[in-house]
Amino acid sequence: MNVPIQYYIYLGFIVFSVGIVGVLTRRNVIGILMSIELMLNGSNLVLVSFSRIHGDTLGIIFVIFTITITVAEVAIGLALVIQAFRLKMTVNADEVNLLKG
Amino acid sequence: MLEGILFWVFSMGLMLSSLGVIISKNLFRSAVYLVFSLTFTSLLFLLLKVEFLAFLQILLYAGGVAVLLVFAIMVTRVIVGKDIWQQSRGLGWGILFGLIFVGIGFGFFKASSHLNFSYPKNPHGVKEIGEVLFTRFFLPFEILSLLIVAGIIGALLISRKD
Repeated sequence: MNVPIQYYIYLGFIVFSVGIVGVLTRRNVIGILMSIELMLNGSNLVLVSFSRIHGDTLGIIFVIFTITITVAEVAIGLALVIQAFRLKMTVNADEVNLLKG
Repeated sequence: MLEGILFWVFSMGLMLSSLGVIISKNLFRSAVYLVFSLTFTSLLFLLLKVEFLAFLQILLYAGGVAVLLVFAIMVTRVIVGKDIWQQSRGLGWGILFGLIFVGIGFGFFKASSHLNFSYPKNPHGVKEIGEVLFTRFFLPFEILSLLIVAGIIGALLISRKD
């Protein structure tokens, strides 16, 4: 018999929580962006396994849209990072504090 | 039986790669670990018999997003002129929070462990995805293309030198 589908949901949740720890812990802005990618990856896994449980194509369409929006978001996020880097010459998240009052 | 072995191999690879993303001190190694974890997720999608998503993940994520990240790492590395090594302060507190989070989540899972899910018959071929995408979700599809164009224009405008 094949693998119980709950294991895929557990795995997606573990990857998501590893991404959360990465977002909270990293000091480099590009490292934070990579951890956000990991969170989205985990949630995609959970969505696909739920789509397999219910036999509905809706979850897969959702994942297609999420992947495409993530690509656009990463492109704009990296453009922002490079622009902030030109301004401040650092990619440390602690030192980008130009709005600090 | 083969599916069981493959599932454990891919899931171990995915967990180790994702831990490598957040723990590694070198930024390039984090990017390579991210490519590995995206590829292992794509292989898990193949095990779940959604082949379209597996190929889409390799094409867009591992071949697009990861390459963009490596470009950004190289751009912010060359200008400064020395290697930017990553420091993770507070890693102990982060790992403690992560363990508590996973514990709470698994408590939720244990409460619903009496449910017995079985795999249904598989309607997830490309034909069914295309039918649903172009009839029921046609409007979000077109709005998505508008969003991609807006993203392109926005990224160009943000990174102009003036």
